[in-house]
Amino acid sequence: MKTRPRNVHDGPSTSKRITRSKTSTNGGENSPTIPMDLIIEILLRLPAKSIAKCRCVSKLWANILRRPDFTKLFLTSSYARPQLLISCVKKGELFLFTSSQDQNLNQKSSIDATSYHMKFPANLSTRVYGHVHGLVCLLVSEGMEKAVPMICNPSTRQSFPLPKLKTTRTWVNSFFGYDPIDKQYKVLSLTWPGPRRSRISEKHKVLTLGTKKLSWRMVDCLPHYSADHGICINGVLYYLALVDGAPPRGYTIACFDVRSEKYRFINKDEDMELLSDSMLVNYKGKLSVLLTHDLWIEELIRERTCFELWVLVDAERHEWSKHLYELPDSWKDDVGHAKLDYVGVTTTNEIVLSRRFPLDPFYVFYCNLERKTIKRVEIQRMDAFKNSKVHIFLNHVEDVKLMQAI
Amino acid sequence: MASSSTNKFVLKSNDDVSFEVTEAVAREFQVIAHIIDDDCAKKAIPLSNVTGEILSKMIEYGKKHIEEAPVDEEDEEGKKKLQIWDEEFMKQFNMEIVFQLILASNYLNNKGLLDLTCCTVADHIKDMTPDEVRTLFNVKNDYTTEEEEEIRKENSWAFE
Repeated sequence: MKTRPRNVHDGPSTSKRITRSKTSTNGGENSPTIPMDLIIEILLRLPAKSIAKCRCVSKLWANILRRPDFTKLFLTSSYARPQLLISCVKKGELFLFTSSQDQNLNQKSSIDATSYHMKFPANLSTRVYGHVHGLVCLLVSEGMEKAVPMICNPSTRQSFPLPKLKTTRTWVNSFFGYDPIDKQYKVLSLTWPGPRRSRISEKHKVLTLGTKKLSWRMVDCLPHYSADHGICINGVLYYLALVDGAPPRGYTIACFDVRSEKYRFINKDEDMELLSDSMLVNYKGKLSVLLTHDLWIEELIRERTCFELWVLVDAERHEWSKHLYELPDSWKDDVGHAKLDYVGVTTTNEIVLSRRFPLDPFYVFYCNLERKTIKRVEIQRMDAFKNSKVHIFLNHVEDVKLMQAI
Repeated sequence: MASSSTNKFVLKSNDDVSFEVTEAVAREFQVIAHIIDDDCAKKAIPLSNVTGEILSKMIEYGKKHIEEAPVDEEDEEGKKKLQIWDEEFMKQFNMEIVFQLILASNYLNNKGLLDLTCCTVADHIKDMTPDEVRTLFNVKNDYTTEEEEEIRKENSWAFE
């Protein structure tokens, strides 16, 4: 797509109503008839919510919007306009929002509103495990202490529970991956006996979505500690791990090949100071690590002038390359004394940062390492979640395919 | 041999309005580029599906995109400038004209203008009710009352 006049996903819908009533007399009887193939071109540029409304236009339209060729094209074109997926937990509920992910760094600042999608009952263990290729995997509350893994699609508002792992009183950490070759989504779950024991996984199980009878299968792997969040890049799930019984060399990177279901571990570079909250990112299609140490400490922000990014060059040889990027000169003016966390890296290679606990206004910062620019985007309609636990996920795409089952 | 900036062609609309354009501008439209390549471009190139009013707007768009083309992929400023111009360019049209521009840019095969016009319509209809969409596109509602109630229920979240 060469040009876009406006991001059609932008803006609160309420303010548009006024202009619409004025312009809706255009077209209609006076307009030339647009053939269906061109109507499809228009529909491909709509947000997912409008697609749901358009299913109500006519049977013909509903059929076209359900056709696999349409949903596939819609998903593909959605990669050109990725979104922020925002999860907030408040008063026993987890809310999912989206907001457009900024693609344009030419303005110094801009404002964007969130769109609400879904909510789920939440307890202390409720969280989003991950999102990939349009779907979200999360753990939701089922009563006071119980929890159930779910798959949901914020673009269609469908959700389905996953079968429970057949062990009682088990603590679970899960990751969500997608294999682009066989086009399969898989959930990987690591379990350990309980909160008082060290978080060393003993059993590793995997479940493939889209199979007739959903079931968990065992996967061979060394027991290890796993960090909370992982990333799926080109069919491989990566997360930070500490292998039990291995020489005390600190963190390694666990790699789970979603297709072959084989595990391996990549050693870090000797100079890489990996910590449990180091950020794994996809930088130009390669697994990379953003070192997070002390970024949010005010005093160090003043001294720190660089981002430290490690890019995995060769997984077989455990070879990494270190990149230091100087912060833009305007850094202190733009960010002030905000204590920031890394959110991740966008598909256009901007580092995204935000506050750990959002205040009002809620800002997200986009930092372009190569052009040395920084942009502040205010995310509106988040005031109700002031000081709540907010988690932002990058590069979310919209899939309008309706699922019968998972 | 004349360069594409000096070589001129005449484009003729279906209501007999002629426009003289440089080869570079003419080549912005794939169909015309093929006619030029096949050496079929004699005196004037007749375009049977486009009116003079629409053709003049398409030439204006084509000219701008030749003159102000971004230097390369990295030229973010150039891209932004053109994007702002595109937005302003589209603001002058009502939906009837936008529809005609969609048909014409599809017929003459200009992907940039087709994308721009389709995005404009998408932005225009994204908050419309199904009924307003039917009116705009002249679509017949073939749902029975019960069926429509059912589909509205299934997608009720989108109307919140």
